[in-house]
Amino acid sequence: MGFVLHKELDLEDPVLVCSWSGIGNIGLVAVDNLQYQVSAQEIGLINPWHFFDPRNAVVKNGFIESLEFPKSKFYYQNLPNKDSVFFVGEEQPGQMGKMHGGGEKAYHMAGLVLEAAEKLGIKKIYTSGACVAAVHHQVKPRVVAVASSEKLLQEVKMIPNVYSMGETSEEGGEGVITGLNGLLLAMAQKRGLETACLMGEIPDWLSRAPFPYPRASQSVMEAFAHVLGIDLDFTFFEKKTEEIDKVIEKLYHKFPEKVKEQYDERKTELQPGPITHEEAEWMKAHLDDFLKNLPKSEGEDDNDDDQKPT
Amino acid sequence: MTTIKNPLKVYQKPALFHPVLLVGWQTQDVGNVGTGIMNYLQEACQAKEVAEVDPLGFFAFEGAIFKNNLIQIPESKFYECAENNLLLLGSDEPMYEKYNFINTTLNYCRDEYMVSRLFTFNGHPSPVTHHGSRSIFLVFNQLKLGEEFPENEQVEHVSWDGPPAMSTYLLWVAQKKGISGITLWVEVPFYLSSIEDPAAIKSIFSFLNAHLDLRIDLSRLNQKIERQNRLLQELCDTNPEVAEKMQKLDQEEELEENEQVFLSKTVYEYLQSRKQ
Repeated sequence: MGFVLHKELDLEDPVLVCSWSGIGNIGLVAVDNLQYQVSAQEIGLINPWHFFDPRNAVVKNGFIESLEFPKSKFYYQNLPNKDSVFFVGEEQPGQMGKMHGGGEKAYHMAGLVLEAAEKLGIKKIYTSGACVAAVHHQVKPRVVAVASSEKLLQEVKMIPNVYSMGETSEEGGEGVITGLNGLLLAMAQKRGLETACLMGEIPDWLSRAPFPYPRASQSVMEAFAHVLGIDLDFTFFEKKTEEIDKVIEKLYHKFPEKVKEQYDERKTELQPGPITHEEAEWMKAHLDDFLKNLPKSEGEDDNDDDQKPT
Repeated sequence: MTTIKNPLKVYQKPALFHPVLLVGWQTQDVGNVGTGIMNYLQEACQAKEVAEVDPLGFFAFEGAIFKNNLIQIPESKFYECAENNLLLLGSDEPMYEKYNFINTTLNYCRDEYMVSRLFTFNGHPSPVTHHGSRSIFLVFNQLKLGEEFPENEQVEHVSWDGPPAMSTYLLWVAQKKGISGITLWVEVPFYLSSIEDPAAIKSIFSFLNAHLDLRIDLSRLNQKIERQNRLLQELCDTNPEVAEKMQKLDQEEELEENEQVFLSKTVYEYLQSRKQ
């Protein structure tokens, strides 16, 4: 079990930006697109077989050409203002159908990411994920931050559209960041590294939806663009948002009028909206029914299994 | 992972040198091919149990599974077959920690026995009848094996892009350890998927006899095939609907889903009722 760095790098005060899959894949989509847009080069990986089962095999004329595992890879780019390392974890170990991973395997994976980070001389780590909130899907998602120190928290709060958890939540600054996007922060802090998590808001009733939420990923990417001092192109996100919005709007129009009216009040509220906890639960509970009634092309893809097994 | 400490229990020192490893999976065992081959070999070679993998950590222990009214416990046992210099692994497919399971078993085979070649067996449900021969589809982990085991009338090289079977994962790890591996996917008439298909098992043995010079006596298997064919003929003679579906299959006509279910259910119930 271990990580592999393909080459030795002498980096100047580098930062690590990382994310794993999770609710709406908000952080994962943001960080993966971030590394792609800055043309970061793959510099290493975590060997997957201790953490994941293979999900695909390619066999050609009898020969096993490849076995594909969920990727856990490091990328690097020497940006004008900052040496930047990115980590993309397509799946969380121990996830097995859940929204986030956990347990011994997650702990080991976080340890490996941190070992690699220390080897690269990284002192500051950002993770990203989702912040489930009583917000409206037509409102631009805010980015909610927690950090390992007041200094870093103030630093990220200087970024437009970034708020501390205490400013956006009824519970104040208390809560849990589930899965590896949170676990890594705790373990990094224990090793004396500076850490912050930037989370994109997702409406509570969409937190179990089986599709990404690019609107929030875009907010997170905008925040990271500030952190790294770069300009990014959001055409991809705008297109994706348009596509997903069509699906979400269909679901939204199926809400009972009373719920819709109350939900719409969230559009003008900065603090959690007046929708009741029961109504939010009702919406979550009915999401599966809404999805069932969608045309097939907007739900899951058909699988063509008409092949020989391997 | 780290919680599973040395899952291997070894009962006997190796008495074989450079044996070929044969792996039969007992889970989702189409046509009972994996189990059937292991059982037949154990009996034919008077194989001795030499080691087993502790199932804890690899399987869910949330109750008892039963098959044909008998309680099943997941197991993974190694047997030596001295006569033919074969090492056998009859095992359920692990549900968890698959890499750890494969790694443990292959390291044991490589380090203790110097195994350099392995075969695994699986049944593959197919829209053919029991009247015809059973083709074998090959998957292998070294390119040169394609030349050693070329395609012919009975043997085909598989192409596939999709979720890997346990055998494919095993072969992939074996390749990293320098062990050449071949999976034999044998055709099983779909209506025999839930019961034993001795003709499919014989097809595998014929392949192994030819390539490994095993000289396994197949007479008991031939008797089983004859008996099963006789029973299936009886069923066709007494049930025109079954006869009609079989005829359609023989003429390479596709059956509707409900026809397939009917045929599978009727054949299964008939053969079970006539079980010796």
